[in-house]
Amino acid sequence: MEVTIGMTDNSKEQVRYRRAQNLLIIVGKGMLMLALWNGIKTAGILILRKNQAMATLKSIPEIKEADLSDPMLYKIFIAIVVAYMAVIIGARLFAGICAIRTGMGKRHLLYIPLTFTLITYSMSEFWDALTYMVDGLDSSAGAVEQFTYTPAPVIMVIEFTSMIMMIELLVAAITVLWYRVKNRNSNKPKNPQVEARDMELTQESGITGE
Amino acid sequence: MNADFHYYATYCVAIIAGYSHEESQDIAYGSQFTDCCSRTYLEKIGGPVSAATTQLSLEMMEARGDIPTLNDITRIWASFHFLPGDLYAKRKWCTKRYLNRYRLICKPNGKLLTDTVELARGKGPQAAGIAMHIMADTWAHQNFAGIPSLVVNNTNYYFYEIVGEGEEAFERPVRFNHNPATKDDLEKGNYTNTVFQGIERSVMNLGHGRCGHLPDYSFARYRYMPAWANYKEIIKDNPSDYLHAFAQMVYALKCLRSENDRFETDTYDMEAIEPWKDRIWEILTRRQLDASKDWKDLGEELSGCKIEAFDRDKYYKEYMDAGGDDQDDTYLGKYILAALAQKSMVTNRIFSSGNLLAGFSIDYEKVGLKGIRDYYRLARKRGEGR
Repeated sequence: MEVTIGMTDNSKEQVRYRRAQNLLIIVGKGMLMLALWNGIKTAGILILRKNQAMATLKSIPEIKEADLSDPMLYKIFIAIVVAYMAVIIGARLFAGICAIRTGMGKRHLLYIPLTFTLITYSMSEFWDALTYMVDGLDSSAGAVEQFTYTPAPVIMVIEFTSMIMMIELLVAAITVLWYRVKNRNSNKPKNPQVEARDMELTQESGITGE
Repeated sequence: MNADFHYYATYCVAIIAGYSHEESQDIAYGSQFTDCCSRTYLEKIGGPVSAATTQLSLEMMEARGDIPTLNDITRIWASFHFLPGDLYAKRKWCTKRYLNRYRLICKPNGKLLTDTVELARGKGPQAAGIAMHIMADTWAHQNFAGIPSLVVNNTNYYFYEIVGEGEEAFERPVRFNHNPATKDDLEKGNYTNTVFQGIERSVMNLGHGRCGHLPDYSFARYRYMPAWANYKEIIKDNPSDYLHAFAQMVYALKCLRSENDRFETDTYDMEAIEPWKDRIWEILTRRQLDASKDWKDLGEELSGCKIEAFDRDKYYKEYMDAGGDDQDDTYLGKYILAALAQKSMVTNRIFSSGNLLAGFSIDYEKVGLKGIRDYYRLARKRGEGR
């Protein structure tokens, strides 16, 4: 009746590894929410703050006052903004999904440098919102009007949170990567998630050991 | 555990412990009835609803998240299905609020188990049946708590079933779905469990709901990370646990028969079950959702008598025909008194440890008859017994 089954490994290292994997999954889901937030923010500004968008166009010297009435110009502007945000949203989705899959046992690497880039983007968004709010406080005439740009504090809070989240993601990703590289050639039993995935793939493909 | 173990296997335990066929039937009935004695059933028979030993799914659906409801849930499930292992457990770096939940985690061989068995001494087969049910569940339901708590009872994607034995054993991820109407698929490793709810006190987080029925399958071996374990994994070996439960139940029933032997934890009568150990192990390790037939066959071989199928309403007429105080002398009446005593004892122990999750407990001998009126009959009976 002796049964040989897997032994538990609750060493500090293994606990840290599992904690990092779980964090990757949680933060990865957070990244997906952030991608959603980017989409909502962009749509909100373009739909509800059309005047603001037009003011942005005015500040470009090459565009004449007469051209502003041309509806095609606005459509081109919208298309550029949407394309730009689609890249950002796509990057966040990709990073989030890769983080979740890495936490579940798969292997991905590209999302790590991508996350660095997204941190830079978040920092720029945070800085923009901060300067806009500070400028609004400083200006005399029209200060109330400028200060009623209410998304600025919201954007600041969310972008700051997203920076913290992405830093956590990087730490967790590097921890997981370090552990996997360290144990690649060791005699220790493999991560059961990876083993189980390999077993599933083997069974599905019909490959046997014979 | 399921009816196969609580009824038929308990019958086998009683026969091996030296009880007669009729006594064994009564003990087994009492054990299985613990999974049937709900508030709804007690209302149907006109019995005291405080004696409920389980809650139906429909009753759980109506459960609110307020404190009295949570106390009620905890009293039932902690007293009869998830007996706490250590009400004074210590844990570093946690709040009292968390510690109260942590202390309700079910483990075998706790002090409360000794109190449960000794409470059943001299009280008849009904009390013995309840004690056997509780003892069996301490093995199957260990590492879960009888309270709705996300931070204790939750599980996640890290869940792997260990299939096979010895060199052929392998692990595969368990896939959970949340449709209670679908049957568990043993071939593919698809099981049902309760849906994740991020609310701490949701009934979805009660007991082993997040683990599905896996703790109740005697063949199941699995690796998972319970929420309370702080990223440590646990391997649950049900065949071994069930075998220990079986042997411990034999020992406990023998203690109850003798007048002098006090029940001690961590003691198993492996000698008594030795002639049938291979057969028992075969039943425990066979991958099947319901092992009732196998246990029934074994029980009938042991006793040479036919075992009745479990009928929840077997003693219903007897109880309904009796009137007034005579009801307490019927099978169901004695069962109700035993259930009230068990619930009262466990609630009192939890309250005495400084934990209010099971609500307040009143010591009748010090304070007098106060509180829930259903318990007056228990206090009266104890008074008569002196």
